[in-house]
Amino acid sequence: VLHRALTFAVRFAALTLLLASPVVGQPPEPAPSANRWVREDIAVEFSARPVGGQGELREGNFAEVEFRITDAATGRPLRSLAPGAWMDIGQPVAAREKAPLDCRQKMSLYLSGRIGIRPMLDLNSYFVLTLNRESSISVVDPYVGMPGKTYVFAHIPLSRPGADWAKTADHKRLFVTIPRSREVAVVDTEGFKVSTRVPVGGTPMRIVLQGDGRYLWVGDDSAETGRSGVVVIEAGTLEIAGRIPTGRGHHEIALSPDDRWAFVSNRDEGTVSVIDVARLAKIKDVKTGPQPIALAYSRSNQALYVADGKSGEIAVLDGRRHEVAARIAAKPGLGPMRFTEDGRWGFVVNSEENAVHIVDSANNRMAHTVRVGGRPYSLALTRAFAYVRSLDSAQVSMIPLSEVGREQPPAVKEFAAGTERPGAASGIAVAGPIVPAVVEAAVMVANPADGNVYFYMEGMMAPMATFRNWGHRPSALEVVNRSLKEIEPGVYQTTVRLPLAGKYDVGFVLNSPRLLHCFVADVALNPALARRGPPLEIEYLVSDRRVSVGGDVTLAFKLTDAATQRPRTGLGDVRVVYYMAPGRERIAAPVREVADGVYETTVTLREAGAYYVYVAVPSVEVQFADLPFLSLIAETGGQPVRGRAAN
Amino acid sequence: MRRALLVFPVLVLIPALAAAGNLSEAERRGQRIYLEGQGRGSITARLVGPGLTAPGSAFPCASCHLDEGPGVREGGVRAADITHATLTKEFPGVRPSGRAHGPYTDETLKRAVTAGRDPGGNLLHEAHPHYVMNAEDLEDLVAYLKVLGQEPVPGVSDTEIRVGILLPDGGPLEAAATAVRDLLQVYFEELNDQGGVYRRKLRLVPARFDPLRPASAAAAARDLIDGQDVLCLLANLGVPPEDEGLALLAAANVPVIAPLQIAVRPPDGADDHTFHIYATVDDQARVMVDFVAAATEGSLARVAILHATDRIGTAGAAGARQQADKHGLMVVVEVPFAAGRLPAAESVRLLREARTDTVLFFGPGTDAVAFLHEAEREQWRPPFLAPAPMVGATVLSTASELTRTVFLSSPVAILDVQSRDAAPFLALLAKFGTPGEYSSFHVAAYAGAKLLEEALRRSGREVTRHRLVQALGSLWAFPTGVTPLLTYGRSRRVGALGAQILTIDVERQGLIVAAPWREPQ
Repeated sequence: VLHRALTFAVRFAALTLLLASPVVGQPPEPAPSANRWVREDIAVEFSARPVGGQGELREGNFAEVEFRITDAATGRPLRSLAPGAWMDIGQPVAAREKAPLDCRQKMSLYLSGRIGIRPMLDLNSYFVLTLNRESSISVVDPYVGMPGKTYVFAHIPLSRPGADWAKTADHKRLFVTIPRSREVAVVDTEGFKVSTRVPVGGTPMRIVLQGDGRYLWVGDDSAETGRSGVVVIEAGTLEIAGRIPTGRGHHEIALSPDDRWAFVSNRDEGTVSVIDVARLAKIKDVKTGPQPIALAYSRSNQALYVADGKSGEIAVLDGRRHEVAARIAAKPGLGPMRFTEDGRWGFVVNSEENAVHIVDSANNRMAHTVRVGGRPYSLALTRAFAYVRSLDSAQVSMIPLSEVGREQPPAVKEFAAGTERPGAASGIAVAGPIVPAVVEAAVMVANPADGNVYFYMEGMMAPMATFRNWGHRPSALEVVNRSLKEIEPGVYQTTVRLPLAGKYDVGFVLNSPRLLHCFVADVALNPALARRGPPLEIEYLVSDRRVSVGGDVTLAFKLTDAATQRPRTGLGDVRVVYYMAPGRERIAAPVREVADGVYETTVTLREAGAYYVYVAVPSVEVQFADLPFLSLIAETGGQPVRGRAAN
Repeated sequence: MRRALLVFPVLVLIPALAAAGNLSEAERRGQRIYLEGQGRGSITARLVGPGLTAPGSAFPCASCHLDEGPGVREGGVRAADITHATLTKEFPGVRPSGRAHGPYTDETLKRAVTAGRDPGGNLLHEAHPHYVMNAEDLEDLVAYLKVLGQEPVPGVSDTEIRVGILLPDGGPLEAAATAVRDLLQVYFEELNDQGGVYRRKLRLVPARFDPLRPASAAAAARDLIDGQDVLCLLANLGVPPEDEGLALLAAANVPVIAPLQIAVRPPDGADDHTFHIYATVDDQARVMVDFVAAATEGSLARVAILHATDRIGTAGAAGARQQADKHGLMVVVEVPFAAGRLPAAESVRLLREARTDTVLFFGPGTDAVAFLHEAEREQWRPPFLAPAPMVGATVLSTASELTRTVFLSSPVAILDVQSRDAAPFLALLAKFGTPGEYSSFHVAAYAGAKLLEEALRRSGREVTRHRLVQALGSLWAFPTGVTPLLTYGRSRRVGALGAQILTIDVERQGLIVAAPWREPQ
């Protein structure tokens, strides 16, 4: 909790630092009065409204932030744009001094990607979630652009290790199967907490959320024959809508794109059960082979592909008649199978043959078999590549989709995601270790053996960044996207939680054509939030916040009782922490009282950069995030110091 | 220098054929409202956000909900899935639309269209316009919405895709037509042996017409569309240029792939459903002028344009004129003439008087030969350029001293029979014809078949005419093995947009490449 608070505070600090810096040059822009702005024939209309309600925006509540982008002349929506946006508090309600602001100036700073300079709310952020073997989920803020460094944004404890997970289309909820607790944990990704635990019984393993979001399908791998099957959960209410025994063995689950049919494999039964979703009733068991090990539905062929681990065959089930329409021969050892988004090419790993087979759904023939060594066990697809993870190799293999279907088999490329082979870690999860990143043409890869998450961008020789997971061993990854999404033609929206009351600058950027504009949003104080502010007020007795690098700096601050406005003397547990943006190496410094209510500490700023100083007094329940902090700039030669990533 | 014998069809232009599937009248009218925003009465769209009113045609349903009705598509755009199955589905709690409501009925569907409210009374997102239309149009639209996304697709059954081809019965192109049909039959057989396309076999449905009877081709086309149930047409040839059927075909939206005829570039958007392999006559004219400009480097800057007054001759002349302007070549004289009736002696006199250096010719081969004879008689031998598809066969058959200064533009790049790429084509050819002997008809028909196969693969099992057109229109640098790479786009319906320049090898009765295949500058 402290960590989160600090993380948030750091962001806020970075911002305030900027705001408080003297602005040289042009006077600040006048605040635009309207929320519609037109430039170069493009109209941008900004709105922010409370989620699920009317009225004003209030601190602590969620808001839907929306940009409607249209052709100014015709009113036609402009589609498929990738706007960027930020929200910064321009003027906190409780601000003592009115700092001069320049929204545009701030935005160009954010765009330059400098370390430690981040807005309060980045409307284009995303998080990487790692399903750890230590009964937890780590939430990593990848902060792309800062190689080699990251921090864990939040940590979500689970009752036991999770096996598989599925998220809602809006990325707001994540459902995690926990076999040893016989439950499904529901993670609220706004607050990154387990909000509900759904006891499903049995051995819940595979979990799939159907396309329209209505039902969660949970494979129950119970050994009891009469029980082994699927549990169907109403995703909205989390009530169990049905239990459908389908047969023995592990269950893989696939749905037709229209959510009419659910397909459940029964590994030890050699069958695939077909379930009518509208009636939640099994209508058929189809014998597909001795060991159905993977299911993949081809949208283009409207057919279900069933890979069999033992026979090495892929059975093709007609999506309407549910009969085996074709069989494609491969070799025993088949594992997970996936189709390209259009459904044309099916990729299936073969761990015994050290190969990946590529099936052409247009004619149900094997188009290629490419060699991928080290016992491949998992695969993921982006628009450009199929990524394959092997148990016995730290290398991730990449098969370029553009080369699939040609006369020559595609040339496999590789990069190393760590140095240890994933197989060195025991207990590989059902969920996959590779997930496409939110940014185009990039993936995140977990290495359960070394505990790291690797960020790889297509075209590079090696991962761009490594995210350490603080001693946890991630077996699977997910991504929670907080970016603006085009929810309707020309309407780009996201949901944010408004941390503070005040007047916000809402920066909006479009790349092509290059447009940059600032809107304004007002957020009211929330009477529902207890107004018990901290019992203390703080005043930093600092004349110049620009200090030289390397030396010790003595800081004094005065603590006042908020109610009586009298100095608080004799506080024995005043604590100070400070660190350099973006939050590494938190250092605690000793504090002494030097006068009535005046306390002093010494900080050492070893590197050039932005530093943040926080004060807490646990005895009066004042935490680090409760009091305003102090920002310092450590610089050399009197020049403002730039972050390492500065260009 | 590579050589090959090329034979070209008489040029004809061919717009699209069409039919509207097996919809009821009401559904068909509703489809028009859905796709084009036009009904029997007037339709307007009120945009709630900006508070504007616009004609319905500016905001047809399909522009957001897309042609088949399902929601999420390109670019992450999320418009609601409005297929009937989804709209009428029971769904407790919040639907993917973000709203909670019961299943739609006809009445609530109408209210959604006109008042922007769902069955629960919730406002649709304000991006959804409120439409104003009369009750009849609303009925039609609802009728169509019920079948949206599941309309029967012409020519597509559970096991088969039917592809039509228009062929002349008799006339000079009969043999070529038979050869093309044979090639396509063998191509389809091979494809079917390989598993077909998405568990369906391809079937060629030939429709013969009498090229000498004016209404015959139209009748055959109508029969193909209405009676024979075809998804698309492939490699049509020999349809007379002024055949009345062409107008009928153009109105309907049947995809036509690789018509084996030279074409005129249609006005933008006029014919979205015809996909040509080779450059139109105007683009060929541009390549001819580029060739003249490069060869003369300004020293021979006085060109004359001779052109027939039919549509193709006029288009060729227009292309030449524009490109000459671009290069700063001077068009010293233009002689328009009725096709087949060039006043040769008069023309030669006019051109010589204008001190013409180079002749650009767009008309029938007989007129070209007449001109060349007359010039020869006057012992005047200027470079003479013409599109091979217009004059080729006639000029070639009279190859002699007369044709030594003739340059032909050919949109067809000469096939390198030694190349690996061409091997599948030659292997296929060997299965039904004389090995090694082929014409440009074979090449173009084969390229068309490759194109169709690829587009069908990209369309998926749920192929529709619309999806097929989308798939064709998004092909980029597609290799057929026998043509330059084919690229299509939103406003590009010619795959290999370019030409090469050939000269005639008089001794060997063949063609020699004077300038390799290239796109116009």
